Amino acid sequence: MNTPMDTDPLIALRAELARGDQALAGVAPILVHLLSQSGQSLVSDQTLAHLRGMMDDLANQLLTRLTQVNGQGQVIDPSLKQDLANRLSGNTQLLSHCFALSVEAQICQRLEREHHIDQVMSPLMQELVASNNDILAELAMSTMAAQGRFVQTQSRMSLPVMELPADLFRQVIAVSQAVLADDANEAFELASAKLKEQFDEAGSRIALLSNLITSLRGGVTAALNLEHGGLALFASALSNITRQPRELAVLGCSDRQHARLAFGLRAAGLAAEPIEQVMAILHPQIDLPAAFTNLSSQAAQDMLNQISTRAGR
Amino acid sequence: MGSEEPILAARGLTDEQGRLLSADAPLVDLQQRCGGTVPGMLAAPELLEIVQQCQSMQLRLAREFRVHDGTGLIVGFVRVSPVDNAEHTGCELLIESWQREVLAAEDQRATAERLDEVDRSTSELVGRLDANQHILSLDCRATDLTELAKAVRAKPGQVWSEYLELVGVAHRQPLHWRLLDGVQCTVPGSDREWTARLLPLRGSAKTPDGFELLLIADHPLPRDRSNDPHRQSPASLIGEALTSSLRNPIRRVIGNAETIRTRMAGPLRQEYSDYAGDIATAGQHLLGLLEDLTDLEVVEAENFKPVAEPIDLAEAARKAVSILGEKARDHGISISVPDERASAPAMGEMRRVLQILLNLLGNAINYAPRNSAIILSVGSDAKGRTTVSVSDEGPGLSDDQQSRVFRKFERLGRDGDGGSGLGLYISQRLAIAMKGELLIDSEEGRGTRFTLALPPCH
Repeated sequence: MNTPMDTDPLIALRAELARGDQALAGVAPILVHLLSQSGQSLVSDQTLAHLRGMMDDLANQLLTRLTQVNGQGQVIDPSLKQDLANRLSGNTQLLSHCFALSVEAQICQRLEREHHIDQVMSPLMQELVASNNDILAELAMSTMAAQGRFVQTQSRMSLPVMELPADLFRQVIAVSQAVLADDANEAFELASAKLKEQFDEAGSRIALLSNLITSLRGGVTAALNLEHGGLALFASALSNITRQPRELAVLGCSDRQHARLAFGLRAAGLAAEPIEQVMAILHPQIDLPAAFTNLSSQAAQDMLNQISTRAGR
Repeated sequence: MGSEEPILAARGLTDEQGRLLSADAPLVDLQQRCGGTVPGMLAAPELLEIVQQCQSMQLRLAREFRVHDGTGLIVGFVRVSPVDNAEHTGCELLIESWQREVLAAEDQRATAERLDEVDRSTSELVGRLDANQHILSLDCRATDLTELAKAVRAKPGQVWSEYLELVGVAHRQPLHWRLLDGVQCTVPGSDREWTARLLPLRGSAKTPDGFELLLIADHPLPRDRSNDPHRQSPASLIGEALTSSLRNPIRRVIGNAETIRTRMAGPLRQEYSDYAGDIATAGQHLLGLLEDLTDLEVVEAENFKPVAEPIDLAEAARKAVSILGEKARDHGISISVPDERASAPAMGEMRRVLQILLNLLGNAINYAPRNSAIILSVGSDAKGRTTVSVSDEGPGLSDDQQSRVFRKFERLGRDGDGGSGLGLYISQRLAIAMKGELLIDSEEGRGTRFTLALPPCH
């Protein structure tokens, strides 16, 4: 039912979405550049420190697990670790993923500080843990525990390698292999095979959240109430309903990405009022144009899809 | 709240290619709803993709998936683990939770709108009704609806259902439109079965201002070929209308190319003049081909009948030579013709006989060597028919070539000489149409003689 007259006032918002996505597309290369700079003084931003920490931590874990087959405490060569961390930083896909995690952690903190939204135990999470459906309650419990670990590891600027999505896990193993290529290949083969054996995507926080969201299909909109569901479930639900990568759903909650969030919430079928509630928490400075109310959820979804295709995601 | 919804779990086993080998009942059900079998390739594309990823990465994956199973959207969460042991190589699927999503109301509306559009585009009768379902106007295309249209004209302004027979509706009209939308009906004068659609116009759905009436037939009317003005004979290649509209542009191409070739409009480099010559030659070829195709169409038409009138074949031969004599001289070929006193009366159509002779003579000039002779002679054959022959001193034709030479599009392996392979075929068809015959007598290296035999004139 969108005549051109209806959508015209949305041009600005649409342009804002495109601008936001362009900015996002530019993030990874800039990060690669910034992280490759020597000297900490240049990089004082919290996010960059987080990212650097996560890359170091990943490199540390990988070297420990891949070079110490028998669990023998060998000292890790610091230059080797730095080399691996640098190479991992060069992987834009990994970097984008870690960037989104870091942003998520920071927004979680802010929401707790300013809006008293618990980072781990949101009201919805409490309800699910107390569910009389045993399977669902158990799933919720595991998810809550994973979220708790996430908050902890993020404050320590680390990222367990087992928390990576399968594709990234495969890539970091490949990068490690390139770095360790000079060393005994047989030992590496054994160690990496063991690591792959241990890997189970289902145990990661993101998969648990996704599983939980899928299980409460009918009640999934409950998670789109940010104060009720908390950021972790909110982002997974938004990603699930609008079929956009969870990273993008998270980044929509960050500064200057309000257009993505607004279109996403509309695409998820939310009415004007709940959208305004979410916007008031995450982007209090933004006033949505009145015409936004008339935008159909399908039109919003189409817009997200178009933009995502153009951004090559 | 979600906690009360059932969570089903189902296992399945796939092989390395992604074929589902065995599965629990819910997964078997899903596979079959998606059009697959067990064992058989995983039919749900998203599941197959996850399984293939698992297979290639050899890592345990856990993803959500969506599947359209034909009636609705299934959303679920699946764990896929690689299996590689003595008994089995492939993947194990564990679907942990899945539920059916109700299609959004908007989708249903969109579907209904689409169906309305389909009906609009296939309907053979479109009418406008007022709010009380009285016919305001009617427009129909099908011939078997003319009786209905006449009835409406004779007695206008009635409720639409008065003019036709509703199947399974005993109640006298008008009923509420929702009860009549989609009703089956029979139309006087038509053997087909019809479905009526009533689409409300403006107003609210409860009290529309009027309706669009559509009648959709269960099958299209078989085309009555005999009355079709565009009917073409099965052999039709190009169509008369197309021929005339092609002929003029080709003539202009040739004319303009000739103008350039002869530098009529001013000086030009030799190469360009030569190119223009090529264009003109190609255009001539195209034009010749077009004429041949038109002739072909004429001679192949079932109702083609040349006029049978007394003609003189000797005169036809002299005419043909007067037309092509110039060309023969260009090729250094001499032609001998029956002299003025000779006459060979036969029954046929002069124009068609000339066409045959021009074709035979043209071929002879094209394929005979320079400084040879072509002889046109008249006489009669053993069956008492009057004949005219064209003999050349060309390379002659083998038995095999002779058997093929009258076939349509037969070029005898010759290429690039501007022929269409239709000339002799057309000539023979013309000869037969005039109750005569076109014969060939040839031997390799000894020249060829074509003889046209026609009924004698009494």
